[in-house]
Amino acid sequence: MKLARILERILVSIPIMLGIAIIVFLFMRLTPGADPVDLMMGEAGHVSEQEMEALRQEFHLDKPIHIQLYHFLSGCLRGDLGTSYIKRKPVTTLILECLPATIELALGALFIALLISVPIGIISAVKQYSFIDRASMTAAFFGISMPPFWLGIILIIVFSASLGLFPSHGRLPFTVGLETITGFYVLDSILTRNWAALASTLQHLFLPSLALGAATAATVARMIRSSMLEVLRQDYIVLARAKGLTEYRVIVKHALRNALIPTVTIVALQLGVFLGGNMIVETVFGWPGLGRLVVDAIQRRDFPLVQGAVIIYAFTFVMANLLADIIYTFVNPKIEL
Amino acid sequence: MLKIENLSTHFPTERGLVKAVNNVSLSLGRGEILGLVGESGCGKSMTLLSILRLVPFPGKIVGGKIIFNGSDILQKSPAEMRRIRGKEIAMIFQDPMTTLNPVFKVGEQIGEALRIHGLMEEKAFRLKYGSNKRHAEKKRVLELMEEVGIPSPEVRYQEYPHQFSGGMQQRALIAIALSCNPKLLLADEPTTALDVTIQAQILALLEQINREHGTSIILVTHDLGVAAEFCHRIAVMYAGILVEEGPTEAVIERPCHPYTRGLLRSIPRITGERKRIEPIPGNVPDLAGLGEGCPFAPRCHLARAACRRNDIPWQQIAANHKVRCLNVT
Repeated sequence: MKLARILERILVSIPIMLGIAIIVFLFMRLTPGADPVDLMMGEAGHVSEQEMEALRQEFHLDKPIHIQLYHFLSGCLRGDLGTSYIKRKPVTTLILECLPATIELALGALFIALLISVPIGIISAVKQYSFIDRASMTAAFFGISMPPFWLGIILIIVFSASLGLFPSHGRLPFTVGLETITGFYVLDSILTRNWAALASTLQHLFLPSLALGAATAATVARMIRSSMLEVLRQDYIVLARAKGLTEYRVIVKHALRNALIPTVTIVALQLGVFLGGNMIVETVFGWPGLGRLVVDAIQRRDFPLVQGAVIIYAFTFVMANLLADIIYTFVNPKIEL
Repeated sequence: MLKIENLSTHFPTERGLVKAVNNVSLSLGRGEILGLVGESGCGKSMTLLSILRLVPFPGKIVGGKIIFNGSDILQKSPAEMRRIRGKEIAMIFQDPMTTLNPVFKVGEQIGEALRIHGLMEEKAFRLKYGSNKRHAEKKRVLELMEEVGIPSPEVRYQEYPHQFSGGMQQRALIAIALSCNPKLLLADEPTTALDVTIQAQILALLEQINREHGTSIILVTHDLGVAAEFCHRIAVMYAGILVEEGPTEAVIERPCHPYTRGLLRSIPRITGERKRIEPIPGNVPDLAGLGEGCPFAPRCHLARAACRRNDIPWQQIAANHKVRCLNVT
């Protein structure tokens, strides 16, 4: 039964993706002053009319818009997102090169967010109105209010420039060699048993993950706190105590398991936000991920690349939604559709 | 077996100190069923929670003794207390729908107390259920489910609480309470949330448990009819204090406290001549603003000036029957 529900969710995602692809395509065509051939030729000096015509044909730009849409969509299905005007490389290749860095950062941010928020949420609920509760909820308020780029800059100034504890830029210095297998540096360094690279990767990962994850940590901590407070008032908590369970088991087993049900959805959706909303953090920290690729592409009007990246963003977000749905069916036994 | 002496549990609130349990003394023999009767908010449930030392914040047990099996529960360390909860003294709650944890399977919840108290490692249990702990635990749980009347326990074991009806949920809760063979069962309005027919079944089940295992039971109820049918002895509570106590027949046949009489008159009867049920005038007083004297005096048609002055002493009516009223003749 759960499988049927999951299949249904997957099927629903298909038209959503299709709609997104069409909208993105149309936006790119409707942007004024965006004749791709002009853009490509901009730096080349004098170009003959013939050469421009040849380029138009190469990119199907001489055809009516619905034929262009057809080429674009069929390309998408084959995994071909077109060719970058500027870099003259397939968009898919460019994106795949950057994607591991972005995913690694997103997972790092998620990890840090959970590492901070889960214990704080639990402790502030269990010790409601205590000093720890008030202090961490005040901190959470700041965490939510702080824009990531500003937090990123502050983190660089404090931990990198002043204290010199963490590097401020990039994923790995050139001086540390690492054989890339998957593109995930943490995984690669473990696979090749390159512990120096692992340490350096984690050091590089820390500040951007913190900058990206801080706001989420704050949100999730507040969510866990409020749902824990709700759960701790329930009768089944009294029963758990009346059974003779230790307070630790009452909280970690009986209360937390219930309090996490609403939280899990938010956390899974946050993963989508981390994957798609990190342009600023990647730019601040010089992180060679998808976000920086896109910022670059927008500045240089490299439309196929922007288009491809937006589709990837949409895709990851739809996937994160799907993941949230799937996890929710598993953590909440009442969902048995 | 259980002897409560001058137990007081107080709640500091913004409106003043609420004496939810005020100098309550009770005793309970082995295999005895005691009914603790009174209106909502009179301190019955808090008396039970005090016995387990699970009074919710900001409530606190401020005085008295609770002697259980020869030692005072109030002097025990938290770890000793945990060994008593669920194992020696178990509790059944009022609302089965909210008392089972929605995210765990029912079988797992019934087996939990067995596991944490290490019962399956005890010799008697090992002999009966075998030495493989997982199998033994499941066997014991299935047996308990069977005993409390849950049909097809093998299937029900794997189900979640929301798949159970209210009556079945209450049976599951009784199975949880029974799992470690407790000597004392605290039943806090176990039938209030259930249909009348299911109520009768649950009470019959509790009676059967009392008969077969010799488990002592304290039944908290607001229904004097239920108490009359089911209990050996009845204690009537009003606004945190006990007002009358005695064997069931004595209390029902010859109620001495005006409050007990009021409660009896407010039960509809189907036999005898048709009479309107008579409600007790007035409301339960605000426990935060309780003054000296009998707390029932403001609603009592017999109240005299003396009733409002000092604490009312107990008066012995018969061998085991006593009442706290100045107007007993």
